[in-house]
Amino acid sequence: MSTSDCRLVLVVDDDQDLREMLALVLQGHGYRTQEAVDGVDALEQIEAGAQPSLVLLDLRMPRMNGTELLLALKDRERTTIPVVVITGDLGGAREALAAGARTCVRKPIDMDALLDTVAQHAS
Amino acid sequence: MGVADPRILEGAALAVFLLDDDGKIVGALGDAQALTGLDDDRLIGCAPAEVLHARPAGVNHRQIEERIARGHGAAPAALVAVDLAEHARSDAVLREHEREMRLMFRQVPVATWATDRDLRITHWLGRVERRLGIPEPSIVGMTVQQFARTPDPADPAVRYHVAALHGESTSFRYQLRDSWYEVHVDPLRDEAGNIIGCVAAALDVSERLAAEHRLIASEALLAQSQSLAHVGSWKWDFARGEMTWTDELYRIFGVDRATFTPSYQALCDRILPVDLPRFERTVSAALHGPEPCALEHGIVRPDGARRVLNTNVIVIVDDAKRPVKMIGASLDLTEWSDTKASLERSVSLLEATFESTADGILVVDVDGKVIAYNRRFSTLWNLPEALVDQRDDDALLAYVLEQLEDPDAFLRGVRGLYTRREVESLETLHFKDGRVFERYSRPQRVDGKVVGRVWSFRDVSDRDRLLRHAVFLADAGRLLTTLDADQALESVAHLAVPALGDASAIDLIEHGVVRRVAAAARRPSARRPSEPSAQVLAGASNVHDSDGASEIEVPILAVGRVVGTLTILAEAPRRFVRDDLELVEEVARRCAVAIENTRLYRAARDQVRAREEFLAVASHEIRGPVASIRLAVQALAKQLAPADKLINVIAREERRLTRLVDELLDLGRMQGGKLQFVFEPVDLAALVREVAARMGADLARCGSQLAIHTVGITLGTWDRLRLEQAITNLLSNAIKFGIGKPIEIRIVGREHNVVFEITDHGMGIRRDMQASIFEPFERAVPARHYGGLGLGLYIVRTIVTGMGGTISIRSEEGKGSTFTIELPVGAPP
Repeated sequence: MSTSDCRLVLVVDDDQDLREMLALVLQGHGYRTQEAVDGVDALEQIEAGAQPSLVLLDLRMPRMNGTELLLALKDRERTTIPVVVITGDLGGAREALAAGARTCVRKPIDMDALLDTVAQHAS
Repeated sequence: MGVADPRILEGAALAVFLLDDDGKIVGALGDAQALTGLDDDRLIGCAPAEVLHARPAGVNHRQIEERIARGHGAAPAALVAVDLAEHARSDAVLREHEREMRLMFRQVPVATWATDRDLRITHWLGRVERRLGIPEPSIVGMTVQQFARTPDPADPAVRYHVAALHGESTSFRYQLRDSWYEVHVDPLRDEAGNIIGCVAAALDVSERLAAEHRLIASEALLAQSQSLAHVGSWKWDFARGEMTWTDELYRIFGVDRATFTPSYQALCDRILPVDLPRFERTVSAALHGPEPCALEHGIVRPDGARRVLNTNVIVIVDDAKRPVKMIGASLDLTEWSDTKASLERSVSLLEATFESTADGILVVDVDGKVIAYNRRFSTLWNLPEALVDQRDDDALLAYVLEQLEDPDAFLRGVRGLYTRREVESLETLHFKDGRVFERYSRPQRVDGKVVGRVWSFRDVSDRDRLLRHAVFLADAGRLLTTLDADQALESVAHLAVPALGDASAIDLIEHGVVRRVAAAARRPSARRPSEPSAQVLAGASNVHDSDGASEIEVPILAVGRVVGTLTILAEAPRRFVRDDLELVEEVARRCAVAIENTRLYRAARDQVRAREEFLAVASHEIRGPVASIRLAVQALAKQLAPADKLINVIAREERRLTRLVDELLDLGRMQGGKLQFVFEPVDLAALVREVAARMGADLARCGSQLAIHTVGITLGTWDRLRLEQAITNLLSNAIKFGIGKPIEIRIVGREHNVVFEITDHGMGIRRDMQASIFEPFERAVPARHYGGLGLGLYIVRTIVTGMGGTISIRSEEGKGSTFTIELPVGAPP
C-alpha cells in the first residue's frame, strides 16, 4: 500500500460488478487501475499506449475472450506485460497458461491471495 | 390190309391179289386192272381164276403166270399174277421183262415171301435183301429166325409168323436193321384149307415214318413258334365252307377248342365293332386283289379283355384263278401295342418336356449342324424363325454374339468345345441388355459314342439379379452403417456402378437447395444422371427413359421428408425393371437411415457440447456474482470503500444470483414440460412500461435510449409474471447486444391479437444462426460470452407459445435485430 503507487493494473472483465470490485480492491491497496470490457477493448487500450504492470484477465468475454487476447498480445510485439488470469474453470486456466498467462487466480477470489499474486507478478 | 400205298406196284405188269379163306379176292395191289381189265371194285369177291381167265378182249392172248402162296393144305392167302404175254412172244423179251420186273421189284420198297410150317422161307420176291446185305437166292431156305437174326420167340416177326401157323393174320410194324417195315403175315393154306405155312408182305416205311416224324415235328414246331410269336392263323376252305384255327389263335381269342366252332361269322363277331368294317373291307380286298392285305384291329375276348391283332389275309386260288382258300395270320400286338403306346407316351412326354422346359435347348451334330432346338431356345435368344429354320450354326452364332457383353470369350468357349468333344462345361453369359444366362453344354452320346452336343441355356437373370442385389444391399448396408453419411453416400454411389447401372448420383436437399454430393460413372464418357425431377423431389420414385438411357429416380425420405434423391442410369440396351426400382428404393431407405443417423448423432453430439458449454457458462455466471460478493465482503471488513457502496454491490449480486437460479429452475420446468400459467387480464403496454422502468439503471449503464410506441388497445388474458419475464429477457438482450444504440418497442393492439415488437440497432444475428437462437444452450455466438445463461430466448419462446402466441425474428448482421411477438387476446382453451 506504499511502494506500488505507480503500478497500473489493467482489469479486463465483461462483468461490470466484478470489474469494479477488483478495481476497488486494487485501488484500496495502492494500485492504479484501468478497466476494459473485453479483449478487444483491452487490446485497443494497450495499442493506444497504456502500459500496465499487469493485466488481470477474465477468460469468458464477448468479442475477444481471454485466451484470444493472450495470443494476440504474444503475437503482436512479444510483449512482456504479465497477465494473470481469473477463472473458475480449470480447463480454461490450462489453456490460458499455455497461451502465455503467468498464473491463475481461482474464483471465488480471495482478496489476500489476489493481492499477493498481483504483487508478485506486477512488473 | 395195312400195307402202304398200292400205287407202288402200278405199271409193273404185276398184281398181288389178297385172298380170304374162301379164296376170294379181298384186295389187289399193283396192275390188277391192266392184268384183268377190271377195276378194283369188281375184283372184290371174285376168285382169281375167274378174273384172270375172263380176260377182256385186249388181253386175251396174254399168258398169266400165277404164283399162289399157299399154306400147307390151306386155301391160298395171296396170289401174285404176272403178265407174261411179252415173255411168250420172245424169250429175250421174256427174260428182259423178267429182269425189268425183278429190277422194278428191287426199286420198289416191297417184298413178299412164303414159308413152310417150319418157318423156312420157300418164296421171296422183293428188294429187302439189298438193305440186309443178303443175296436174294440165299434168302430162300433161311428160317424166319435166321432172317430176322433172332432166336427170340417173343420177337414180333417170329411171334406173328408162329401166330399165322395157328391161323392168325397180323399186321405189325417191325424194325430190322435201321429200317421200318409194315409187315402183314397170313396163314398159307393148301386147297384143303390146312395151314401149310405163312405168306407175308413187307413194305419199307422208313421214309414215310421219317416224313411222318418230320411232319409231327414241324407241326409241333409250328405250334410252338406260333405260340412264341403270338401268331395264330385260320384257314377258310371255301369249297368245304369250313374254317380251322390253330391252337395259338384259340389262345389269342381266349376260346376253348372244345366249345368253340370257328367260322367266318364267329371270327367277325369277335372283332372290335369299330374295326369290323375295316376288317371286312380288307377281306374283300384280299378276295379281289392278288396282293396280301393286312390290317391292325382289335378283338374282344369272351371275358371282355381286348387284344390288338395285326392280321394278314392271303387268298389261295386254283388254276382257274378262283379263290379256294383264305388264310389269315394274326399277330397279337397287344403287349407290343402296350409297349408302343407306352413308348409313344414316353416320346410325347419327352417332347412336351423338351418344349415346356424353362431351358432353351439346342442340339447340334459333331459338325455343329443344328439337329434340334426347342421354342424356348429361340425365344431366349430372340431368334427370328427364318434364321433358325436355316439351321446354319454360323448364322446363329453371329446373331447370338451381337447380344453378348463379351462375345470373344463366348466364341472361344464354343470353339474349344467343338474341338474337345467329350467335355462338359458350364459358363455364365452376360448380355448387353443386362440378362444373364447359364450355358451348360454336354456331349450327346449314342451307345457311348459322341454324336453331337447338347447346349442348354437358362435365363438366370432373376437369380443373378437377386444375388447381385443381395450382395449390393449387404455392401451398401455395411457402408451405410455409419455416422458419417457424406462419406458413405460417396461410397454407395461408386458401389452402384456397375452393380446397378452405368452411372449414379446422389443429391441432397439442404435448406431448399439441391446439391449433388456424390456421383460415379462406369466410364469417363458415360452419361451422367440428370438433375432430380420435380416428380422425385415431390417424393415419387420413377423409372423413365431419357435419351435412350434408362433412369431410376428414388427419393431419400427421412421422417417423411424428401432429404435427397438417388438416381441410377443405365445405357441402352440395358433397361431397368421393377426389381431394380425396388432395390434402389431399398438403398435409398438405407441412405435415409444413414443420413438421419448422422443428423441425430450430430444433433446429439452438438447437444452434449451445448450442455457442457451451458454448464461452463452457468458456473462462470454463478462464480461472477459470488466473486463480487466475496470481494465486497472482504473489502467491507477492511473498510476499503464506503460501506453503503459495497452493500449495494452485494445486494445487486445477490439479485443476479437469484435470477440465475430462477432461470435454471425455469429451464428444468420447461424441459420437463411442467411450466404452469396463471391467466389474468393484463395490459401489455402498461407491463412493458413497468419492466422498462425497473431496468432503467441497466439502460442507463449501457447508454441505449428506449422508445415505446403503443397503438390501439393492448389488453389480453395472459400470465402476467411470465409475460413480464419474457419482456425482461427481450429487453435485456436488446440492452446487451444493442451496443448503446437506441432501442424501440412497438405495441399494436388488433382485433384478435396484440403485437409486441422490440428493435435494437446492435450487432445483429447471422442468417444461418437465426433458426437456432430459440433453442436452449444455443447462442448466436456460441464461442463468445455475453453474460447470462443463454436461455433467454428459449424461455421467451416457451412462454409465448405456451400462451398460444408466436415469436419471430428479423435481423441483419451489424444492423440490429427485431423480435416480434404476437399474442392472442383470449386465453387459450
